[in-house]
Amino acid sequence: MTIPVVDKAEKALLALQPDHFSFSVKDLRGEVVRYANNVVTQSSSVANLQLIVRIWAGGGVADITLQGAGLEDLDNQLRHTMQRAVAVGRTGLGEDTPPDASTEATDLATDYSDPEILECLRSPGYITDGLVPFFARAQSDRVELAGRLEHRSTKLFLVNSKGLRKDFSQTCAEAQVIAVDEHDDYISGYSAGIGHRRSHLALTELADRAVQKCVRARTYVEVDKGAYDVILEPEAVTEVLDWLGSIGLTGKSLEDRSSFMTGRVGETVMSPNITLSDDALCDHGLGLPQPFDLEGTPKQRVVFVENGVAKGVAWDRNTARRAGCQSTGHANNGDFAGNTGPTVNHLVLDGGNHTEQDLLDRVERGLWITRFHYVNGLLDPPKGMMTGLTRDGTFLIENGTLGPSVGMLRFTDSMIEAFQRVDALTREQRAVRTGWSVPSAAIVPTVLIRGLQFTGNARG
Amino acid sequence: MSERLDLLSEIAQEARKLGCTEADLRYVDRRLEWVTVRNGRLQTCSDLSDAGVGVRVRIGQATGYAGCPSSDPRALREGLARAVAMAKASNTVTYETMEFAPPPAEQGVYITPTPGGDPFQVPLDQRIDRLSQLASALKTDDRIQVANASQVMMRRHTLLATMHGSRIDQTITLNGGGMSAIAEDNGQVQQRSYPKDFEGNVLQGGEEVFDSLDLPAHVDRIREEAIALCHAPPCPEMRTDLVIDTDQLGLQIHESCGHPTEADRALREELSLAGSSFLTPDLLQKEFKYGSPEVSLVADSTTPLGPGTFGWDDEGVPAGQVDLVRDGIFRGYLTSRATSKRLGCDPIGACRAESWHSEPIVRMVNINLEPGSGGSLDDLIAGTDQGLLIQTNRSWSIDDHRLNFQFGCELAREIKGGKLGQLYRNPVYTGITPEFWGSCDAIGGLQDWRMWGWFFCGKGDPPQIMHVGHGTAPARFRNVQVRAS
Ligand SMILES: [Zn+2]
Repeated sequence: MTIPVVDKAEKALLALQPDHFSFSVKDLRGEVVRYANNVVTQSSSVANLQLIVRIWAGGGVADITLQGAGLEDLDNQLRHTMQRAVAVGRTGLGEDTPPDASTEATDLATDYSDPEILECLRSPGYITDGLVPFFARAQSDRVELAGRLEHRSTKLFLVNSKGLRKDFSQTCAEAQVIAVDEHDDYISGYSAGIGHRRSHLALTELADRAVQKCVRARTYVEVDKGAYDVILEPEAVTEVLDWLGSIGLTGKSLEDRSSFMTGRVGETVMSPNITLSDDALCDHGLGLPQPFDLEGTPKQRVVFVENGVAKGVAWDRNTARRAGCQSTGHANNGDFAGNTGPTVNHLVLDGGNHTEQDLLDRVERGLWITRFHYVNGLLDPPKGMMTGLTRDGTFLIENGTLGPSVGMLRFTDSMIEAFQRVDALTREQRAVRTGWSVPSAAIVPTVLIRGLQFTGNARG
Repeated sequence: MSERLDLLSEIAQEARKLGCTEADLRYVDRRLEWVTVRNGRLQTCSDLSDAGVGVRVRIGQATGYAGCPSSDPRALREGLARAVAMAKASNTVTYETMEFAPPPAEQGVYITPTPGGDPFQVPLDQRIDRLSQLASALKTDDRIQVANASQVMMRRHTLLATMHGSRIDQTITLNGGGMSAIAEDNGQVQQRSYPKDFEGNVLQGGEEVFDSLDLPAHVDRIREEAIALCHAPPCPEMRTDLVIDTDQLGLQIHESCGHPTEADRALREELSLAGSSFLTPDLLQKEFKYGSPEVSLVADSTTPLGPGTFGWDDEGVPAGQVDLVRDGIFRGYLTSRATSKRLGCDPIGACRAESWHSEPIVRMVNINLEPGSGGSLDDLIAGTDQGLLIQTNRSWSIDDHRLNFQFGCELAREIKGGKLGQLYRNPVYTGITPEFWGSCDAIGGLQDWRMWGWFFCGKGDPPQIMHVGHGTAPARFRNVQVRAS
């Protein structure tokens, strides 16, 4: 499978005769509908073509990202990038990790397209039908619904001057529902889903779950700040793990001295029931599988923490070369940011042996947390010190029973220490959206953590 | 260029035949360069060239949007058809009508002044060498583990043509950068940045913007402060008076005034992503006390150097100045044409899009804190008996209604009897937005009033980044909760 721009770019690059080159082409189609207050507030369709090129010439390296009509002047743009690479070479500061063929086989297929999503995208606006269950659900229980539904299809092609030629296709469906009380938007519930197939989204069930949470949240009690046992749903756990990924689970975080792993590989850093990895192979059938990274390196399963013991981090080619090891297939996933180091896009927290009810049974007095808002992991990165706020469904647990809502609370705690206090995890895992402009998904269970520190609430 | 504008206008007129009551075609061509030197090597040398056309139509009760990766007539007509299909589909499920304020009919040209020259014309190797010298000078002490210096620049050319007669041509140039040093000593890892972390300070203008940062003059201080922080005690837990320097106060304004005054949040249209706002529309009639009488915050899309300055927003509404908070009282919102209609006011021109593939949404422009009578930063410190000076943001977090915030900063210094004393590491301060601004008893004057640019404000779906500005002087806040992280 190929598309014309792939051959055109390769031809143009060969004609320039740089020392090496590599490029990716992404052909993206997407539709997003957003709704709020019973109105479709946004209905967008985007077709985009993106070419990311890296050229090695004259001892230097330079990148360019061309998008949309930016590709129309391809030859000049590539010539300009070659000149930039040579200019970098003149400074003597360019970093040289030339591409390789990365011909190793991966276990992974290369087509993750769902015919149902592709069919939907062929009929612009058809996605809007998916909103019907949401609008229908908003007609009862005195709630308003807000949220979004998104379909996208991506075809990715990788080529380099060492003979690498790879491609893969992927679709993605994503939905988010917030139910709010029609008179009070401090009373709300949330649910969300993501997957590479449309059937991964149970839209009616998502709407029900959000509405049920909102209805439950109408009974409200205030609680004091302090330490609470918390049951975190996968969405809440993922907010924290995603931050941990950027401050602590990559080769760059070791270089930056921001990782809690620095000097601790082989030591027990978390509770023995924690096994945390990055696994793009997605044998669990959930999430957004990916066979190789944007440097063409096959995706490897990287175990960060196994039964509580620190094992290692994820690498791209530059950080691996500097550390004297091999890339694990975690080069930047294509957000415009250039060469900012490896990224962790397929976090998997292994499940335990429990049900949600088992977790509840283990809590005498604590909190059920649906999701966090605005978590920040830059307070003291080596300690995994983070802060964030609860949102859209936080409930008091007393003697194993889910009770009234407690409103908004702020936690501030070392999440490395918090993961030393993980008491139990559910067997069931969910796919949770991560990533900024390029969606990815983490696979995470519901987790019971003892004694999470809450330092603030709506009053201060 | 007028040829391309003519084509956009022509297609906008064709939309009438397809049943549209409005059609906006927006061509965007942007170039973005980002260069980072880190520990004696070039870490990032990225370049983005992005162009295309966004088509927004209004049909019946709803709108539709299509991004086209090309500007040839065939692609534009295909994009128009897609936008129409999206709008028609929305009509079949929607219960209420999305109304808009009347369409503007504006014509004109806006170009960023670049008196110091076009930054894109400075040869790349010169720009890298300049950054490399900074990073090397930062790293002259073994305790500095990481030294970074970076430059970001962007040029965006936008052509907007609408069915109702707007024809607008704008070219915006942004430039800036910064540097940081990470020290490891005494069992601590500490960072100092100048002028701030992340993108540094990115402002509207040419090469003179980067020159005016005067980074070399701050290298020794940044390096020494990073090392000193490794030996400083943690910030004590207490309630005390804070003098907040502008490199942090800009972000405080962004998070606790900019975002909560976005009308789409207040109207519950952003619930599923960014959240809502404690500044609900009923408060406009209630003379809601947002802050102390010293506090006046203005949305100003005309401030020189401001990254949120333009001639017109992406709906063709002209730039201007609007009070968000005047003498402490909440007065207004950042609005688009649709949100202003729902609020029953005029649009202020705060509807902006990152590029052609993104639909214009309610955005900050420059949200400025007006200077006060507090004099210079030194005057504010001299007038404070007991407190802390807080500088340079490190972490940020605020709830989905924008009430409970917590900011971590790189550095705090004790103020005792009007003089600076002990250095503290890992300071964090927290508060509740209206209480916090209500405790503001002094704002510095024009002498230390400075424009800060934030290049990466994220919002929307698909996610968009936007460059916004915050002009501010340092200010003092009484009795604020602080501690160490
Ligand atoms: Zn922002």
